[in-house]
Order: sequence, then structure tokens, then C-alpha cells
Amino acid sequence: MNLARAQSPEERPSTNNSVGRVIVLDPSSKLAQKTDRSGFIENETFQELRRFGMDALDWMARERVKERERRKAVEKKTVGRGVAVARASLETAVNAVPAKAREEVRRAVRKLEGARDREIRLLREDVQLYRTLGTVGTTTAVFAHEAAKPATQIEKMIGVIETRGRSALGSEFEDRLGQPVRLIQRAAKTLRTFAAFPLRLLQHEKRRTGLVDVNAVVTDMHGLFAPFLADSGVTSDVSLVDPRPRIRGTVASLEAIISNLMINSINALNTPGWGGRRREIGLRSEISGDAVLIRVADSGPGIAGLAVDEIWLPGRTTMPGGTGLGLTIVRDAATDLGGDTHAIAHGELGGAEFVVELPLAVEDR
Amino acid sequence: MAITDVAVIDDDKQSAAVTGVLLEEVGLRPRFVSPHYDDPARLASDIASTAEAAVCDHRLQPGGFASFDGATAVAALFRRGLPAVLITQFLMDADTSIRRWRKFVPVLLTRERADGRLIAEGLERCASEIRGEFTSERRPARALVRIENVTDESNQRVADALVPQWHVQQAIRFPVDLLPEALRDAVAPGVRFFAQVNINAPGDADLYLSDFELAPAADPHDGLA
Repeated sequence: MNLARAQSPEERPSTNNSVGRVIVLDPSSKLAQKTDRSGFIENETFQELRRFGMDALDWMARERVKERERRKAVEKKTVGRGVAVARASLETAVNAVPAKAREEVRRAVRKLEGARDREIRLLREDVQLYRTLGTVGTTTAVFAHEAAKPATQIEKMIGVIETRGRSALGSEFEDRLGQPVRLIQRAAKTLRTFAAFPLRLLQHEKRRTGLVDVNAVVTDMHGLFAPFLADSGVTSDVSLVDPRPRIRGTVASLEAIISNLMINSINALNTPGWGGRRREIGLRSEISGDAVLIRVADSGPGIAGLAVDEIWLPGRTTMPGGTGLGLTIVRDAATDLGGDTHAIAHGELGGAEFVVELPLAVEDR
Repeated sequence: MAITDVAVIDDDKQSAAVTGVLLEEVGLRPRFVSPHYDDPARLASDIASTAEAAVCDHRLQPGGFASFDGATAVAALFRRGLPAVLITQFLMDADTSIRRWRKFVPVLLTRERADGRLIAEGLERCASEIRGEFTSERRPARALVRIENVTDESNQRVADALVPQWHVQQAIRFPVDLLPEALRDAVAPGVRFFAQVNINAPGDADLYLSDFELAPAADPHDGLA
């Protein structure tokens, strides 16, 4: 049930919520109790009963999502009328206030409305930003498939040109074609890596809940970023704890954490006007009690002009043109995994350092 | 029989041309196949008259080459005794449309890896399998398959299952219609089947499952509960 909830959480209860009761009449004792009375033996009858329960919950979740969408559509249409009615009743209440205090109340109400309007405007901007990013995601997913194909073709064909060129030109090949061929090979490889990036993140099995090897995901993500880091002149250091820590969750959540932190660090190193010469990023996994710590640090300018706690809020960014969503996604994904996040304004490498603390899988404690 | 002429089946002319060049690099002669096909058996029959083997792209529908996918075509060629290597740009297809025919697809290469040498080696491996000579990675064994989850993907019912003899933790996905019709309704979380599985397969995309049979229900009185 929790698996179904993790895969499609909308309108689904968790195992701690009671949403109904199944009464089973079992006159021929098809259900057999375990010897320690801790439940029933998972025989065919029990499995069938469980399937029934899961099907019922699936059906309920689908119906509830439909109902919620209907309710949202109605609310969107009627919210304007509701505000007008509320405003009219407020006006009536204000008129009932003694004339002396009335203007003061009106000023306070106007102030409140101004603040609310600003809040609504910010929320609308957030929604618009999420929609835009969502569209970028869906569009990128489609075009990444198409872009990977010609990138691979370029790589294959330049390989053939090299083989045939060496055969035809012999020792002259290196002088005449060696460098341009290598430049095309490198450019094609970079292109293919970029095209592969969204596809790797989109692999559906990464959204299945299970035991996730933290070191494997850190290594994988670092590998994905490696060509980009090399092209940008950034050196990176990965230090992984042994034994390999595992968490319960999805690879996609952990990838969201690591990739957003790495993008954040790369952006920090590219901050306009910041003239630091060292361009370093460090990734580290550590074990602390029953938790695994994932640290991503950089040698950038650190967190300045913003309180360290505020860096996680949506829309807050110290990077010009930044979306301010990357670290919010990190925080939300960590929370989903039962973990926590901390930021250090100037960490081990001199720039910002982010620490994500996730509970180890029960099996590894 | 030595392989010299190799049919190139691809809905994308540019991709087909690239594959042709790769084949020439290892001394094979590409034979380009023209669309359109609705019947995999007819495609296999046409190829048999012009080539001794084939290289086939998996997604054939987008460019209007055929109404079926490449895995179906490779399986039809296999049944006709023609070695064929399947190439895919999209490993995500391995779980469903490729898994359905994977038993008859001895060699699957990603577009990224597929060069002339690997294609030529793959064709040799296919020819061996057609002769009944399996590598250990492809040899099937009777294995327990425990269904973990059943869901819908791209309008088809798919199951996630554990094959503990292959990997104790990593679930694999396959389309439910891989099972005989009489067993499909029984596919549900917790249900166990036996199937022929190549349990030495190196990766998820290499696994095939066939000859499913329902495993007997656990006996609550066997003293193991």
C-alpha cells in the first residue's frame, strides 16, 4: 500500500489512516493465522483479499482525484464571487464600527489587502515558474531523444573518417586531419552527454520505491556531470563512505537532490564579478548515527546577501537569473525521504556547503 | 554459412546510411530494405532472398517503415533462421516491447555502442543461438518469479517481479501478455510463477522470461510459516 502511495501519492491514505473496514466471513477457515498470532499466513486466500483491498484503494484514489479536479474547477469559477461577498460583509462590519475608529479600521484592512495581493502575486509567479519549468521538462524529454540520435551518428562517422583517413594518408593523417577530427570527436561526445542527461533522469524505474545505494547514485550523477565539469575547468573530488549506505526511497529523489546541488555549485562558480581562481566542487557521503550525510561543497563566493535559512525558500536566489527553485526541490525531496537539510555559508572549500541528512534504511542500521 | 550481405532495417534513412557505413568498415555489404511492412513474416521472407543476416532498429513505426517494432521483426527473422542484431536508441523499451520478444533477440545493442565490430560479433552469436548453441548469459533455467507490483504503462499491463535467482533485490518489468492468456488474470502482487529465465544475464535489459507456470500456493501446514 505504501508502495502504491509512493508511486502515485495523490489522494491516497497511508498505512496509518483508516479509511474503511473489510469484514471477512470465513466459515471454512480459509485464512490461517500465523503461529505467533501476528497476522495471517500469506496463502492464496489472503493474497486475494489483499488484492481486493488494493484494488478498492486504487479505485478510491482515482475517484477522489476526479472529485478533487471537479471541486477545483468549480472553486476557480466561484472564488471571485466569494471574494466579492466577503468584501461586502466586511464593509457592513466596518460601517457598524463607531465613526471615530472607522477610518483607522479601513486603513488596516487596506494594508492587509495590499499584503495579501502581494502574496497572491508572488504565488502566481511561482505557479507560472513551475509551469514553465514543467513545460521545459516535457519538451526536453521529447527532444533529448531526437538529439541523442544525430550526436551518436556524428561520433560513429567521425570514427570511420579517422580509420579511413589513417589508411589513406598514412603518417600524413596526423598533420592534416588529426586535430580537427579530435575536436569533432570531443564536441560530439559533449553533445551526446547533454542529450543523455534528461533521458537518464527520466528513466521510469528510478521512480520506483526501494533500497537505494547512495554511493552508486552519487557516482552516477558525478559521472553524468563529469564532461561538463571538465569543459568548464572545474575539478571535482568525490569521497564515499564505506560500507555503502542505503536509504529507502527512489533513485529519482536522490538524483533530484544531488543534481540540483551540483547545478547550484556550478552556478556559484560562474557568479558574474566573482574572481576566484580555484574552481572546485566536492561531493562526499558520510555516516552519522542512523543517517547518511551527503555533502556538496564548492569554492565559490559562498552565501552572501541572504540568511542561510532563507536559501531553501522558493524564489530565493543569490544568482542573477536563477530560478530559486533548485534548493527548494532539494529540501522537498529530502523531506520526502524523511531527512533534513542544512546550509553552511562558507564551508570546507571556502564557498557554500550543503548537507543533506537522510535516514539509513532500517536494514542497514 | 558465411555472412556477407546484411539487410539494414531502419525507419530513418540517415540512421540506415550510418549503419551501412559501419557494416562496410568490417567488410559486410549493406542491403537497404524499403518500407512499408504490415507483416513481420513477409519482411523476413523478403530479407531471406537478398541477405544472410540483418541489423534492425527497434522503433520502426515513427518513420512509417512498418506497423510493428524491430524486436518483432528480429524474432520473425530468428524463427526463419536468419541472424539479426537489434539496435535501440532507447533502452527504456527493453522492459516492455523488447522484453516481449527478448527470447528470440539474442543480441541487443544500444545505438551508442553499436559499431561494425560489435554488430559482426553479434550476428555470429545470433547464428550460434539459431544452431542451438547458447552462451551462459543466454541459457535458460527454471526460476521462481515473484510478482511485486502490477501497473499500466503506455496502455499495457506490466508487472514488476523479482527473480531471486538473478537478483534478490532488483525487480524487473515485463508486459503481462508475455504470459499465456489463461494465466494473465492470476498476475497480482505476491503471486509466484515458475518460468524459463536466462538467470546469468548481466543486466536487466538482457533478461528474457518464457514458459510461465503458476507456482503452487504456499502450504500453511508445512511447518515453515
